[in-house]
Amino acid sequence: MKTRIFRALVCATIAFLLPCWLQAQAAADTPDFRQVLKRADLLVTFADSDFSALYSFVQETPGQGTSSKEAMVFRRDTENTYLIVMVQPEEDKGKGYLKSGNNLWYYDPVSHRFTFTSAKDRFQNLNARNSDFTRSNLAGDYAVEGSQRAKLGIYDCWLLDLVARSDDITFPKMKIWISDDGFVRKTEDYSYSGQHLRTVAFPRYLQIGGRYYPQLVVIVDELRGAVINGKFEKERTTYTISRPSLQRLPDATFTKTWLEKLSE
Amino acid sequence: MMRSTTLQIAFRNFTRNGRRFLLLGLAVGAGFFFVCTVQSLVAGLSSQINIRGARFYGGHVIIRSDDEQSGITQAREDALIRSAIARIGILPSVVSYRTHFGNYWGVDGTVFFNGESVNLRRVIGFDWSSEGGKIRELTFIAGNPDAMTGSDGVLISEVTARRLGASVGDQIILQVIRQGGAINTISLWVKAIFREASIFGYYTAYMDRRALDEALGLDPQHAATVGIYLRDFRSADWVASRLTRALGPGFVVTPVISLMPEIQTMIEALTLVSYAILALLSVVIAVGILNMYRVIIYERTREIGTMRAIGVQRPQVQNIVLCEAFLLAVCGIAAGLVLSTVGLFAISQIPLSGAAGFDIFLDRGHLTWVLYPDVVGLDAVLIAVITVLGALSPARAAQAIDPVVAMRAE
Repeated sequence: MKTRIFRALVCATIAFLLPCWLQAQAAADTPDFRQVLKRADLLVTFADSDFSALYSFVQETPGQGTSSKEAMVFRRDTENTYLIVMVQPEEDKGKGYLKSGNNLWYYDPVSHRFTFTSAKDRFQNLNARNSDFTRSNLAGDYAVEGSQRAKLGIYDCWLLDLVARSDDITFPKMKIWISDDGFVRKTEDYSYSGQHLRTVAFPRYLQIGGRYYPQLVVIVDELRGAVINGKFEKERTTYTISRPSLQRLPDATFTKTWLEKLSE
Repeated sequence: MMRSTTLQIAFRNFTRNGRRFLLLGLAVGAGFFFVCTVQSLVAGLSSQINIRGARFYGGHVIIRSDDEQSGITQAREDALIRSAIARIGILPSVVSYRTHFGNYWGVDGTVFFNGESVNLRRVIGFDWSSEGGKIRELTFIAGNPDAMTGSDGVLISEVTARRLGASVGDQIILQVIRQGGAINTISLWVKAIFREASIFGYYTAYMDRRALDEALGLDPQHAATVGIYLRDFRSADWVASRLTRALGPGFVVTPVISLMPEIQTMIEALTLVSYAILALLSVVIAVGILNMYRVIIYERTREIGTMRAIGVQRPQVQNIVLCEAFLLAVCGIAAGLVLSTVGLFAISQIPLSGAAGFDIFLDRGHLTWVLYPDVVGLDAVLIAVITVLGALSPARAAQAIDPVVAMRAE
C-alpha cells in the first residue's frame, strides 16, 4: 500500500516536472532573435569601408521575354547613403539615384534634372525597390512576433515572423528565413493588411574583407505575372553582384555633382 | 402720344422698307450668330471642364487645411466652414457644402488583377450616400454603381478594366502607400465600370472614403479636402474669395479650375478670343450700319421730306430713324439667336471622340454648348446699342433735311 502511494507520487512528480524541464531547455535553446537579426545585419554591413560593385539585373516578364540592366552601386553604410548609376542598356545609361539621409533623388541625364523619389518606388521598373539598396537594418526596423524552426533546402533555419516597428518601413510585415550560420536566406514581404507582395531569395553569399554580400538575389513578384500554358507564371528579377570593391571612395562621390558627371 | 406715334411710324417704315433693311439685318444677324455661337461653345468647353474637375476634385470650390498633415476633421469643418458659409450669405448659391472628400494622390496607387497591374493617377474616396449623385453622372458601361453602398466596392474606368482584363464582379487588389510610407493593400470588388475618356478618368478609381482612409492609416473623421458644389460654377472665384476672407488663416480655398492651371489658361484665352471677336464685330457692324444707313437715308430723302412737310418735327425724325435701327437690331438679334441655336445643335451632333486630347472637353464624344441668358442678354444689348449708335449720324443728317429741298429731289 505504502509502496503504491510512493510510486504514484514519484510518477506525478515526474509528470509535473518533466514538461517544465523541457520548456526550460527549449527556452535555453531559443536564441535572442533581436541578436539574430543584428547578426544578420552585421554580416552584410560594411561598417569599416565603402562598398562598390556592378549589379546585373535580369527581368523575366512572363509572355514578354527577358530584359537586362546593369548598374554601378556605391555604398557608404556608415552614413546610410548610396549612389547608383545605370550603365546598361544604352537608353538607361546615365540615369542615377542618390540617397542622402532620408532623401532619395532620381537623376535624368536627358533633362539634367533631379527629382525627389521614394524608397518605396520600384527600381527601374524592376521587382526590386529603391529601399533594397540601403544597408540592412532588420533589428532596428522589425520586431519578432513569432518563430519556428524550418528547413529551407539544405539550410536549417529560424523562420521568424517580423512586424515593422514604425509605419515608414516599406514592407510592414515579413517572414524571414535565417540559417544557423546567420545569413538571411529568404524573405517573404507582406503589405500592412497581410497581402503577400514578393518573395526574395539569397541563394549565395561571398565574402569580402570580413563581410559578406549576396552574390545572387532572386525577387519574385507575387502580384504580377501571366498565365502561360495554363499555369500562372510570376514576374521575376534576378540580380548578381560582381566586381566588388572596398576601396575608400571620395566624399564627393555621394553628391549630385558627381552623379551628373558620371552620367555624362 | 408722341412717343407711341414715333414707334408706330418707325414700325410702319421698317416693315415697308423691308428690302432696304434686309442686308443690314443680315449683317446684324450674322454678327450676333457668330458671337453667340463662339461664346456658347467656349461656355460649353468651360462647363465640361468644370463638371469633370468638380467630380475629380470634389466640388467647384475646394477647401483644404494649410496643414496637410492634420487635414480637415469633421468637427473642425462643422465648426468653422459651415458657419462661414452661412455668415457670408452664399447659401443660395450652394448646392452641397458638406462633401467630405478624402482623396489620394500620386502614382503609388496600383491595382492588380490576374497578374496585370495598372498605375492609377488618382484613387478617390467618397461617401456614397452624400456624394453618389455626382458620381452617378459618369457614363457607366457595365455594372451598377448603386452597388457601391458597401465599403468593399470600387468603380474603375473602362481603360483600367481593359488593361487589367477585369470585369464587374471581379476582385482586384489596390496597393497604396500609407501615410507613414508603408505599403498597404486592400481587396475590392468591381461594382461598375465607367467610360471617361479624359485625363480625369483614364486612370481614376472611386471607392468608399472610410475604407480608403483606413487603408492609408488616416483618421476616419479626416478629410484631405472639403468640396462645395455651386448652382453656377461661374461664381466659384467669387465664392472662394469670400470664403477665404471669412475663414481666415488655416484654410486654403481654391476654385477648382485653379487646380488645373494649363486648362484654366486655355479657357481664359478662348474667352478672351470670343470677346475680341465680339469687339471686332461690333466695330464692323457699327461701320457697316453707318455707311448703309447713309445710303438708306439718301434714298428716302423724299419720304423724309414728306414727313417733315406734314408736320413731323426734326427731333421726331431722328427718333424715328433710331427706332427703325433698334427694330433692325431686335430682328437681327432674334434671327441670329435662332440660327445660332440651330447651328450649335448641328455642331453638337458631330462625333469628335477621335480627336486626340480633345476628349476632356467633350460630353460622350460631342461638343456641348451653353446659352447663358445673362451673357446672351449682354451681347444683345451691346449689338443693339452698336446698331443704334451706328444709325445716329445718319439720323441726325435725316433730321436736317429741308422739306422743300427734299420734295424737289428726284
